[in-house]
Amino acid sequence: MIVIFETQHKETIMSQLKVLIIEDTQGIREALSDIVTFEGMQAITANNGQEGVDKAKEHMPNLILCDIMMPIKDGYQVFEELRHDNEFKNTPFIFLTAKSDIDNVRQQLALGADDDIIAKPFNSDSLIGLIKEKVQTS
Amino acid sequence: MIKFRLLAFIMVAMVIAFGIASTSVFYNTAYEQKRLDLAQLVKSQKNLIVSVAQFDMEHSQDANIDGSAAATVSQVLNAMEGNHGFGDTGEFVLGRKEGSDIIFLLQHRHFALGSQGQPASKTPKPIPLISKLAKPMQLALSGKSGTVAGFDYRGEKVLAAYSPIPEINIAIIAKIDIAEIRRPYLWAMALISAFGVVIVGAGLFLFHRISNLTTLQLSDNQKLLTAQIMELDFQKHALDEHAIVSIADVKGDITYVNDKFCDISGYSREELIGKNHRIVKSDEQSDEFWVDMWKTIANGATWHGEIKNWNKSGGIYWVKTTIVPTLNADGKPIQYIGMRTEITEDKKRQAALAEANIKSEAISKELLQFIDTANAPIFGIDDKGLVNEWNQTAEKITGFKKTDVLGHDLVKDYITEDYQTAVKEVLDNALVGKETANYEFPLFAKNGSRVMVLLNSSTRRNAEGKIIGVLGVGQDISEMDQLRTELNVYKESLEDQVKSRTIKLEESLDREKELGLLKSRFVTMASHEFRTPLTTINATSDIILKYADKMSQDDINLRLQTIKNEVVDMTSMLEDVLILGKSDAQKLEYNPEFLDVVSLVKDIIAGYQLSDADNRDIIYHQSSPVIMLTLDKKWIKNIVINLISNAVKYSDKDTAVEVSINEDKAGVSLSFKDYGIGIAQEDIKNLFEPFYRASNVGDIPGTGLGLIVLQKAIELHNGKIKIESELGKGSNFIVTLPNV
Repeated sequence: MIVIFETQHKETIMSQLKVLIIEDTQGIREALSDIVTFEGMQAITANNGQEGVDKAKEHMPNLILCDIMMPIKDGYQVFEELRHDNEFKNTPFIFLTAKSDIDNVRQQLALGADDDIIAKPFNSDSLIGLIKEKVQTS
Repeated sequence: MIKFRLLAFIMVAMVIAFGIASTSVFYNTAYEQKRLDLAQLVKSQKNLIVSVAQFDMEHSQDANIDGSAAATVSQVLNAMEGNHGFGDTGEFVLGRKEGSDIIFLLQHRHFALGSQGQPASKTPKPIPLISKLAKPMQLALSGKSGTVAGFDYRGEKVLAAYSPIPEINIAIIAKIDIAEIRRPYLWAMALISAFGVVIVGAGLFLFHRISNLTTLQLSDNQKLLTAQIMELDFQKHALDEHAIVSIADVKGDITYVNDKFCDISGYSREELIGKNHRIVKSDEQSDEFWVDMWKTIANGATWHGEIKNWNKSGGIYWVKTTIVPTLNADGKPIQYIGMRTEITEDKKRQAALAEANIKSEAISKELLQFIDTANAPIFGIDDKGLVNEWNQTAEKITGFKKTDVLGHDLVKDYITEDYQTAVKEVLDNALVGKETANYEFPLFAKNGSRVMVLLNSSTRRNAEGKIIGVLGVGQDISEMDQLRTELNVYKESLEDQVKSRTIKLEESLDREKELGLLKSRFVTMASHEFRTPLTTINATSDIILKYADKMSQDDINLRLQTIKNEVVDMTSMLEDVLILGKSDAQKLEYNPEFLDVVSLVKDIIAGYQLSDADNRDIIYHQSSPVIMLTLDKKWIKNIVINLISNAVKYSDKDTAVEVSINEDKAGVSLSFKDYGIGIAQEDIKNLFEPFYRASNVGDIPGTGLGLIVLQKAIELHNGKIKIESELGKGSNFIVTLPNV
């Protein structure tokens, strides 16, 4: 009963989950937005790091999808800024970066247990699975 | 000492003998006196008794003689009772003969005194008439009178005067112990003797003291004399050991020679004694020399000199000689003592030295001549820094005469001020033995100019090796200095050339290195840059496949268009990369044509504008309607498209873009000016890095390759590109193509 109730509860609130997409490349940003939207969640997009930080504070997203190499503020700065903000202490991050940079990025970011990194070009199914996993734990 | 004791004994004996003699003379006199006194005493006493007896006889009622005699005796005895005699031992004795004994009538002092330990009794015991005792009484009783020395009743030796008193048939004796008479004289004798001994003792003591001193002195003198003799012997020995000694008489005949003399002369002693000293004389010394010597010693003076002698085998030997005359009381010489030491070796050395001196003097003269005439400036200073050498060349190059500079302080007066400290150091170093080579410094010339001198400083020492100054040998390098300056200039230019070549080489090496780096970085960056559109294509196609059922046809078309755009971008990027790859390998095609730049540029821009949705206003400027230039149409198109699209991309659509085409002597310049976002200064320098994009491009698409390709195109034309830009105000890219 409880399980059913929870599942139903989740189903019902899925549409209220907000995913913030911070990505400077228009094509990728739109694709990510499509995926989130088609999976039944709300997609909020930002073109650069600064805009990402602003929109995060504005919308209080349940998950943040974030590129690393961006103008104005890069992914590191976004993470640094939001992680030090108590409001986002538990907000999971999924970083997107070129496969060759994954190790480097992982070293530079003090990732929490709920955070993750995914390589570009990404497999859409893997990304969808990861997004769902993260929003549910949040 | 024995003599002294004997002397003492004799003197004591004499003193005692004198004492005994003188005392016995006095004693005998006193003895005689005593005898006379006693005789007088006896006589007077007898007279007294006789008178008493006569009186008694005349006045006695008793006609009995014996009776009167007895009365007399009794009276006498009464009278004499208590009479203790005279002196210490002197007393009167009265006795009479009774039978064969002598009876003593008086009480005697000796008994009263109880002398000799006998018990006191009134009278002495009777003594037989014939005995050794009471000799005087015996004589008196035998009717004699006189004096005698004999034993009394006690057996004591006494001097007694005796006399019979026939009237009353008794005898009287006055006696005294001889010992008593003798005692003072014995005392006197003892005293005299003792005193004499003391006197003698004291005298002897004093004598001994005095004589002892004298003796000591005497013995000291003796010792001194002995020592002196020994010393003399020793000295003679020492002299003999050291020197060649001979003694000659006034004629010069030898009377003594020591072993050394024999050894050196080669003659035996027998051969020499009695011979004249001329036996060893050589021909070296002149007659005057010998005359002078003889004059000197004959006058009693000591003569010193060096003499060359011949030995027996004709060899020579030199001796340093001292001749001392021995003088008699008149001061006339009686003999001459000659003492010599051999100086043959010294003489040889002296001769050698003299020869060496002559040589060294010649060398020294030669050297001085050499220094003076040497074709190099030579100067010398003493240990105080004052000039003491100044040769002709030094005179010539400085203009100062030797006489001008001698005694002057070299450093202070002839060295320019800026070099004084350094030159002083060089010279001071030489003065402590540290020589310097090739030290360059300027001297003042008389005319005020500076003469550059290359100096070698040498330490100057005297014969003992003591440093006495510095000799500076120079070289006038004023001309050389000039040459050297020119040479330096030449050298510097050569060095510069080498340096610039090196820099170029290094630069090309760096570039080579940089290219290597660039290539590897390019590969990294290119893979990154290709990944972005690939990601978009991948994700977008996934979305179409996955959510097609949720999408309208328009939605799907929109996303397909996205994919197409990404593919176009990638293709163009790929082309750029290929161009760059070719340019690195110098494989770019270049087909120059001589054509009109103005119409070419305008055509290209018109073509571009067909695809430009905004259709921006382009304002043209040109220095002339037709500008002919040799160039590659294809590459010019690349340049123009790149710059016009950038100008449009990075500015607002309502701002103008200005294109200028100007010709001047150098060539043709194409400028593309916009009023857009501009480029930060720090970005401008990186604009030609592959994939580099200015920080303010935002969402404006671009690959970061365009400008690099453009640069290659300009390079093909030997042109240049210049960027003028201000952030927020716009940029102007000016390409200059040379007029070949």
